[in-house]
Amino acid sequence: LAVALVPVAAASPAAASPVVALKAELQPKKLGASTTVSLGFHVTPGPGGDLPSLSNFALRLPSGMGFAATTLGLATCSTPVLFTEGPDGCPHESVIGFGTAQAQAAFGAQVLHERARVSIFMTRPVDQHTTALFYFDGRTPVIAPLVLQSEVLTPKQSPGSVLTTPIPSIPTAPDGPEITIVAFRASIGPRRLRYFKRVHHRLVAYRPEGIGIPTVCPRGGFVFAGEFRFQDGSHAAAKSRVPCPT
Amino acid sequence: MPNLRACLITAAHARWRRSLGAVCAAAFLVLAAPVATQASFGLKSLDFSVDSAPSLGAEPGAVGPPEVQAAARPYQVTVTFSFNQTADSEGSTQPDEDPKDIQIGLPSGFIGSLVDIPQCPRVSLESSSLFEQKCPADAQVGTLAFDTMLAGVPIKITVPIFNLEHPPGVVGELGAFANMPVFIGVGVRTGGDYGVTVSMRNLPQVAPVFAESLSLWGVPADERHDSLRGECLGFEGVSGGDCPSDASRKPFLTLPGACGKPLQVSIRMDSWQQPGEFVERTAVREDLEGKALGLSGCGRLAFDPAIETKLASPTADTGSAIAAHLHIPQNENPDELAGADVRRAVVTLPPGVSINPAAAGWLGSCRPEEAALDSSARPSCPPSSGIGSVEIVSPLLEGPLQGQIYLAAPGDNPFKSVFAVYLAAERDGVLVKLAGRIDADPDTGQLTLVFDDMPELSFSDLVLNFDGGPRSPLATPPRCGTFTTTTRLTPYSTSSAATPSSSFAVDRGCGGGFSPSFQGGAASTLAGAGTALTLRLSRADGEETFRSFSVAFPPGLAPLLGGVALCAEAQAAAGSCDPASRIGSIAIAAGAGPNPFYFVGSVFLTGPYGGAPFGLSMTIPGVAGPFDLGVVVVRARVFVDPGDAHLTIVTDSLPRILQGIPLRVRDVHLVVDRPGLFVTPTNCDSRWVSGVALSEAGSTASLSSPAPLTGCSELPFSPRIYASTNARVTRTGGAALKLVIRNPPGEQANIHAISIEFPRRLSPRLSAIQAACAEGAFASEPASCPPASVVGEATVSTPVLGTPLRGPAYLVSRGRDALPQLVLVLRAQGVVLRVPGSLRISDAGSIAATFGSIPDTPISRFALRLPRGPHSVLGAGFLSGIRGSFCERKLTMHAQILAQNGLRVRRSLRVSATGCARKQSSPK
Repeated sequence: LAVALVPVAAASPAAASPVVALKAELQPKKLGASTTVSLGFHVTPGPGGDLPSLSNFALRLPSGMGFAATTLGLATCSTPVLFTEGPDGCPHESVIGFGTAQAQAAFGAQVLHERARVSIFMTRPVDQHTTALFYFDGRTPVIAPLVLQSEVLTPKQSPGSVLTTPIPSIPTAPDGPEITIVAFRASIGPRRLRYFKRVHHRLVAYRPEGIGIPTVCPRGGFVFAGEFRFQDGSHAAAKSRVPCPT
Repeated sequence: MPNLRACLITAAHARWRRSLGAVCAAAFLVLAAPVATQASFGLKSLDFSVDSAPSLGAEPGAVGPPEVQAAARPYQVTVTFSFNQTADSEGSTQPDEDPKDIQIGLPSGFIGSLVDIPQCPRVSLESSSLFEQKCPADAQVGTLAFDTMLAGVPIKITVPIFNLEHPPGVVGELGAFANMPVFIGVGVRTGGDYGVTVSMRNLPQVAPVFAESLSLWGVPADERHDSLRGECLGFEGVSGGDCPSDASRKPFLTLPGACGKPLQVSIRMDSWQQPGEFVERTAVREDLEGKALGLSGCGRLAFDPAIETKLASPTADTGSAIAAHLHIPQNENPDELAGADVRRAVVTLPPGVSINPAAAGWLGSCRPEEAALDSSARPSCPPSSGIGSVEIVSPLLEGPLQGQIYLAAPGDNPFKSVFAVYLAAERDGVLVKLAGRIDADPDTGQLTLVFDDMPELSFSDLVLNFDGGPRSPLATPPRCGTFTTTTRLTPYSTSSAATPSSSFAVDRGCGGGFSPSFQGGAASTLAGAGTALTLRLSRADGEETFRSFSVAFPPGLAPLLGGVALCAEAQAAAGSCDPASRIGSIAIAAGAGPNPFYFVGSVFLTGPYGGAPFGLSMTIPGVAGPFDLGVVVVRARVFVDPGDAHLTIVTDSLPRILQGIPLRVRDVHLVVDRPGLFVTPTNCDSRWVSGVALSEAGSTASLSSPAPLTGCSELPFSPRIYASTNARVTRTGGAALKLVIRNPPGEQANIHAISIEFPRRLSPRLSAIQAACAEGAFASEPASCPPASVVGEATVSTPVLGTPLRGPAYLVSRGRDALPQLVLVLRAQGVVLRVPGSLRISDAGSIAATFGSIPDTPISRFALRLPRGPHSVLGAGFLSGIRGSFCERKLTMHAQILAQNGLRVRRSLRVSATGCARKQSSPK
């Protein structure tokens, strides 16, 4: 498995703009095959700067990769259900992936590092766009559930689908710091998924079809790109190249 | 019957020798034997005249018109009276009885001064005869005439009256020889109007006396009396010639200085036949038309009094002798009017001179019956009621009258006033007693002495010397400066008052300032032990006086109020708290000088007062010596610090003045000694009792006293801790946790800090943190915090209070500076404690809460309950669905309890789950 990690400095003129590293992975990595796409990023403060809260991240898939041909997310889940019932309240077939996340909030000298498991669910389309829900199940040191809604857009200018995820302000205590996501990794695809279908009155488990890898690998490999915006107005971009299968 | 008249006349003309006179006298006596039948003894007539001098060339013995000028020296004063008579068996008249004692009361204000009048030795009078008066003519001050019968022949005999040398103890004595010496005492009507009374006692029964006429000369040496002086006076009247006096012209008689009222004379007498059975009669002077004739011309009387007040020690704020000297100039010129006499004297001492409470310790008082104002008896006031001496200089006497100033019994005196004095001064049989009222300004304590209706007894000087020294009844002004005594002196002659004044300086001991000494704290220095509590605040003489003070005790010096019945507000305000609420005593030292007087009272614990959860009612009976100034109630607020529970006592104003007595509080000594009420801290860190005292002048002084403590390290510490949770847990309702800590009662170290680390599966919820109360809102009023910020409740059982402290547990934001706090707001009996528990992230990555500043008070049970619910602060980290259970899960948490003495107890706790079904034991 070849992985290319390409951090890109933020385009913001502010010297203290954060730096984001993006990491993409395909598993399996086989042209024309159904695969699980793993995307992860890690945000670090710029030199001498503080870490602003991430307000939006957009992850662009390579051209030819999208959700159109998948059988991921045959069912849907919703934000209220996730908050009230948790992931167990959602149908198995709404799960389209898993991940992890790390967030933090600085209370003076004490920094609260929250680690969360992430479950990704298909939800009802928003404006006819495929929409996913990222459920962050933070448990330690505080119990902090969070649901982010991510739309899958296909802009005309863009060669591939883009998962755009706005991040609302995540307050802590009144007048306290906000929680910012500093690391995120999500795997979308059939790996670790088990759907069920009824065959002759019996429930039979199966793996859904994942995101299809194009049959042709562009020169230089598959390029994943990410754009990141922060609440202080700064932004950053990052790319990650997955070499063509050999 | 021998012709005694002829005998006497012959003897008189021939200047018979004494032996012959004695023979006549014997016959006289024989003849004088009463022969009349007894009728009613009494006065047939009584006349009183005050005459001016006759015109030049008048007949010897003539007088001028009635003297009507007030304060004049009359030419002559004559009292003439005749006795009831009855015809005897032979048809001749006889006096009913023979007079024995005759007292003639001259008008009040009438002065007879024998000072500087030549005197006749008593023996000279006694050896005289009708024919040979052996007293010097210069000593003659008048004449005594009587109508008698000799051998059936009426005869009027006139003899001179002399000023006699008199023994000590009497004002004066006059005498006449009318065949037997007749002594005429001069006295003052003590207990009455202090007028002059002349008394003839044991009159000889030498002959029947039908009438008598007593004439006294205003200026005995006046030449116009020469024809009736010495040898010029035969016993049958004027014998011719001039018999001038060699004495200087000194006034003997002076008329009263009051105008308007008639001059009245009285006679009181008894007889040899009925001794002790006195008859009385009065007469007023009348004009020719029979109308009462008083005096006039008061406007001509001089009245120029002066006052002088002196301090024995011109030192501020101390007991000092104080003398007030009132001087009334007297005019001794016989040809001029005497000065006016004082009828009313009002003496206002300078501001700052006040009654000294320090004197109360030894002071007694004099009751009216002891003062005996209305009798001639000497006062029998107890010595302890003497507060000074008095000296009166009167022209009546050669030397000053001297005596005492007595404190009158409060409320039981002629004025029914709190403060009054009696003056009693005596000399030569003259006893002057006088009551004076003392008005003490209720706000300033300034003293005003009021002597109303002073007797018309001329005096030139009245000196009041109030005692000094440590028992001084008066205190000097608290500050230096010049102080003025003012007066308002009203004479008998007019209603216009003179207002002389006098100033003195106080220029020593002007220290002022305000730096009181202070001691306070627990009586015991042993940690964790029962103790009394003391406070002592003292100032030196001269320093500014206390207004109030506040004292904060070190944390840990906690009262165990659980067993004390709190006094209700109404009773606390009235000073009538039940003994069940008594917790100690208070002593307030008052007064200037080295021996202040201690008012001692009780201290009662009250309910809420003045915004504080508790209060003190310091009830002090204002009994000081003879004074009962009522019950003084000083209130204080007792605050319990919401942070460390230390006590602060803030007094209201201390009593400054009681019924006009400035207390000049010197020392406040508060002792809270109810057994078992206070327990010393268990933390031996260096601590202080501190506070602030406020003076009446507005100055402040910091108070500080060390509160040493030992033995903390020897105190054991063995708390027990339990934790439990509800088995059932939900996503929305979160999870519960209950933490209970028990610290066995007894001499244990108190809990200082509790630190708990939440189990990883039982973590705080972000939603609860987000709903925390803003720091500012909480600081101002926790009740204003949103309901969601209340995440639990706590209960603290402590013997400090009668009921457990209970209250909510708030999650309070600390902004960006730190993780939120879990603050317990505990309330009981008005006490509010805020116990903050800081949250932190433990080394293991869990959230830990530390209550790091638990008050150093005995806590028998501490319970913190964080319940389930929409605002539950805790959640179950293992939940991926709606609900779950802890029954099959092992929950462990770590706790650490730190004692006030530094001991530390660490526990790894199994958190038990409640509500789980009991495991069924498998059948064998």
